[in-house]
Amino acid sequence: MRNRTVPIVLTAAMTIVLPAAYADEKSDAILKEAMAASARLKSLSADMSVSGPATGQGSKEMTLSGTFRALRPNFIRFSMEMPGQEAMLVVCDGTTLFMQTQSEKTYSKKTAEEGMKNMGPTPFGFFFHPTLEQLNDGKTPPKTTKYIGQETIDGIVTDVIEATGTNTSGGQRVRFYFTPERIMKRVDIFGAPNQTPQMSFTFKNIVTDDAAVTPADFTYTPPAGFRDQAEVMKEQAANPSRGVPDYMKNLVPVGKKAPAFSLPTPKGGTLSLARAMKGRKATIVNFWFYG
Amino acid sequence: MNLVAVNLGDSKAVINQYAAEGKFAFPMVMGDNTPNGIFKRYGVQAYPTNYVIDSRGIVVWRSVGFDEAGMRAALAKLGIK
Repeated sequence: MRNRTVPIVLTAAMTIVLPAAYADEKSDAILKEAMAASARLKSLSADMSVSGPATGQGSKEMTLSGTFRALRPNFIRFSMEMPGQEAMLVVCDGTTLFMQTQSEKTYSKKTAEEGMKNMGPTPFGFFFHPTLEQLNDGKTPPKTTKYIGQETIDGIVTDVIEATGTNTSGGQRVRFYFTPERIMKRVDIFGAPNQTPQMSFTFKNIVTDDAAVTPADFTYTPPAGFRDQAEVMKEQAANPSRGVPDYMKNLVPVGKKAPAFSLPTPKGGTLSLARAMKGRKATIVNFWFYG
Repeated sequence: MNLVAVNLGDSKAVINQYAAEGKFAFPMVMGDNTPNGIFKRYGVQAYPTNYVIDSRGIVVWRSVGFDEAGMRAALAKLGIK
């Protein structure tokens, strides 16, 4: 089975909207410092882990790990993998944002502008969009942000700020963890009150303004055999039998007449489809064997 | 609604026993996998394969594997709950 968890995780993260005003003074001050600190950064590299439930309804945790590197104004290289299941690579070369999906051997393309518009409440999103306003939908009135306290993560004392959204995605609470340098180290996204986080993004080994990071680090060349997703989809639309699993290729198409049959029953009689259908709104024909 | 279970290759005894154990009320028939047999004509290559056919004999839905929700939805469209 293909695993589609990675895109789902990112999409979920992107739907969250945060309030625009900050209620208590301490959280207000820290957020202002963090926004200024982030806006001053030219580049940022870090190892990243993402954890969350395996599926929308499952309770099993999954963790992806990877690396993130970014350079202003719009260069990204960011790879993640889940052992044995899926690997994903996102590269923005300054013009085009490529997203490569290992299991499907495809890559998709967006313009840099479109691809980087909204990265959700994540440490990498905050690098490019160091505001919480840009996460708001513009219609929802702001609710609360508050200073929660300090928490030590990977040996670094962070200040924790909680924000509560009011939008349609369910009044989510989000906790932001800022380092003493006011870099966003971690984000916890809570689906509902009093729950463990649904998803967490954590940066480790953060390196800022590394002079060795240049635009040349952000080129993308598809690996051999990888194809543009748009072309694959176009082909599939033109020829629907492509992309259909082999074991379904020969089935009678929907809309066609079911082939007639008359077959022996194990009790010694015969039964035809016509007789089985007689007077029925529907007939299920099931093919099975015991082995 | 009716259900016809088309079996591939099991003996009468096995099928009858299976039906008895499962208390299946629906009819079973014994299919054949010859070049013009029912499995070929229905394009069956994996199990279970299920077809839903409307009152006119037209295929309205099919699946390979267990997709109970999909089948229920197909039957619901034909007015069966």
